[in-house]
Amino acid sequence: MIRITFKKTSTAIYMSHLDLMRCMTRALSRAQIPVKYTEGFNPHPYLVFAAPLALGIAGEREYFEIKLTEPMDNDEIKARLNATFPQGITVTEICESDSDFNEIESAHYVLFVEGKTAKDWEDFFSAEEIFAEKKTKRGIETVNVKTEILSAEAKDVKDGVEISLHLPCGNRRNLSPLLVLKTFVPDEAVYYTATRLQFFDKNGTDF
Amino acid sequence: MNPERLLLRVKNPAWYSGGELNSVVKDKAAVKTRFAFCFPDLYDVAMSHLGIKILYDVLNQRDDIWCERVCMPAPDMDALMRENHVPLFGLESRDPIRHFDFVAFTLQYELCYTNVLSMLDLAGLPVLAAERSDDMPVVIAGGPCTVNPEPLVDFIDLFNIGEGEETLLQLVDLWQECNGNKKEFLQRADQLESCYVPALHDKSVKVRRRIVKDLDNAPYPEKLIVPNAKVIHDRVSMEIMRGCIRGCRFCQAGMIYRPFRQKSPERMMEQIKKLCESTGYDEVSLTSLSSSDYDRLPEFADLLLDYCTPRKINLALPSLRIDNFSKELLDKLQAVRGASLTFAPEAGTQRLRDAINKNITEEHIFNSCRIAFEGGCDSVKLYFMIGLPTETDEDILGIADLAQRIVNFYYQIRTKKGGRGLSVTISLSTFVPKPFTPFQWEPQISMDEIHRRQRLLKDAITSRKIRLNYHDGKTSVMEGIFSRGDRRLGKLLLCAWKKGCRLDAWDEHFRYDLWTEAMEECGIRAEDYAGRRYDYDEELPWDVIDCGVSKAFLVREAKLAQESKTSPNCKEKCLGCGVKKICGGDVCDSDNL
Repeated sequence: MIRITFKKTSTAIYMSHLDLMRCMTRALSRAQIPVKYTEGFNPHPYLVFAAPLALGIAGEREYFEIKLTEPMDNDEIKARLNATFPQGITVTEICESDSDFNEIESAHYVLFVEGKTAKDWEDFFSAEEIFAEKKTKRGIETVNVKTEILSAEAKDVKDGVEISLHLPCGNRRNLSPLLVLKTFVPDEAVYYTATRLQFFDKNGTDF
Repeated sequence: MNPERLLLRVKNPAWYSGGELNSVVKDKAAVKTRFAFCFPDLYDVAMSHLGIKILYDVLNQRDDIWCERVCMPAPDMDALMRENHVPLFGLESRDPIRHFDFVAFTLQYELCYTNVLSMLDLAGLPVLAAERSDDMPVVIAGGPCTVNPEPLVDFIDLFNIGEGEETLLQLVDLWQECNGNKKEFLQRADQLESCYVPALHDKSVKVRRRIVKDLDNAPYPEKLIVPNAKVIHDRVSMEIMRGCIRGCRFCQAGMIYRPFRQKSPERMMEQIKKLCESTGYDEVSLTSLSSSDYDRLPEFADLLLDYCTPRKINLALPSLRIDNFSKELLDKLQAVRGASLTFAPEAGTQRLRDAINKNITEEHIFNSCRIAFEGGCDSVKLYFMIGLPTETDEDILGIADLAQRIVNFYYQIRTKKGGRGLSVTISLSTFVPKPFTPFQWEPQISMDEIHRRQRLLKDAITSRKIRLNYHDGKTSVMEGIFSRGDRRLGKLLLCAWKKGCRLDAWDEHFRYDLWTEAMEECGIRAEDYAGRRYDYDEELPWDVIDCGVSKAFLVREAKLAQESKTSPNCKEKCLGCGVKKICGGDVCDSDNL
């Protein structure tokens, strides 16, 4: 397996996870990377993503993996892909896969919320319980965001507050930074940005 | 405010973000002319349309022109833009289009007209041409609906009739020559053969539809914009020909895109390869009005398959007619992949199919069904129309009867037992008389009559294998009013738009109640437009346009329809439709005439 590390920024943040998968499939095809296809009635390139990134969130260090049918130099793959992405997607690194995406346990996010202060965040976060409604396949579930958040830190920046969040991420437990944000600031008109910086495994070491 | 700040608040932000692969970004200081190509519908419809891609490329090939795309924002974005004073912007630069040189609309269907007004208004431009000052952009329109420009003359400065590949560049050249002097530009543009400036035009001078003579060497993009979000047709479109030899009497496209012109397989393969490589799409669709009439289809199919199969690229072949639908071709193109077969017999009886000149017989239909059923197909989609001229209840009952006999036929010959069996879906639309067709004088049936005929068919269908889909007919009536409308409709359009009508082609946004109110206020009645039989010798609103086909030809065809008599297609015999005087096509030019 070849692991591709990429950034998703700028206008690419408006792609959903499904859009991104389509985008990568097409990029691999344009770049003529000899990628292995799935068997079956409707063959498509075999792609595995580390963790879906919701529409609206940027990613600084995202991963997906492919299999090749014949060897190709990593630098060559990187150069070819970077020549054919839409605005906002860049491959930063390509290497052999040395771990399993299932080991991902958490991720580090940073939010910017316009017009709010570190004090606002602290007032919000100092509550003992913070309930939020989460839409799942089973319906609406109430989660206690407070206990789910692994750590949070806020600081005042120009025009607003920057909140650094360490949240569970992966197959077993997952908390979207957007859910935290919507609970903190229910007003839809407030401008914000959200970025996932990196993943961690269960030992808290960089993934 | 930067539109970016609104994007996370709407449902489909990728519709407004730009940044797609192959979208063209230029240095605005280095271009002379800025062109807003407006598609008056939502992004996913706009980006499925081939014409906009061709013309976007034609304009952007020129270093001194920057053409950007502009779509109708969905209601959520529309509301936020108005609330936050964000004027309508070009997707590429995010600059307000009111500072562009050209604001150009492509009019693909009548029910997008209120969107034109809405987009002008959102751009910060007065919707009425007469109220726009000389320093505002020239507002132009093209596309199939402009063969009858009259309902829109209050809003559009200039109509460009016909195929735009060459004429748009001529218009930009003229604009540059006039140094952006709008008055001078419009005066001189009105002298061009295919241009109509309603405020200046001498009605005795016909405006002639522009036609690209050599399709093989006409510009075609080598790159297509690949949308970041899914759109309706997300694939490589290859236009294999323009025009249609068939002459179905209800069909406007079959008349206004004449003559029949084909591209060569060699040229198309070159283009398809470039397009697949530049987009990474895994589907190629061949577009035309009737793909199976393409002369070199078997040869082209071989070339296509040789290219597509090893690359795992699917082929889509819409507009396949059933009469010359062969087993070999099917196998080659895997047209029944997914085990579904689509036909458009349009009418339920042979008598009516003859009257509309849809030269399909039951034998054709059942032959095609046999091929498809034996190939394992278990789903058939049938397109029919109600309200066609000369239609009787017998013709409507014939639709149910034909569908039932297809069901029976399936159970006679089916090879596999068990399973779900066959499903037949009937999609029923309502006939709308269109300019430049032999039926342009015919009345459309009233709303009550639409409902009666729909019920009649519904009650006649007894099998649970047959499903019937239809609309309630209100949009068809609006379409009927505008398709043959005159300039008095400008008032209605303005009034309905002010009341809140827009996105009329979308069921969830169409407001018939508001349209009815507007019609009452303006004193406009459906029966005077859609429901009226126009006289053969009456002056028609669209007489100012010369589309190629002559009125004499249309009258001849109309009279044959009354007698339920068919006409041969262009390959069989030239009917002298008149288009040859503008530009002969592949068949018109051939020696066997």
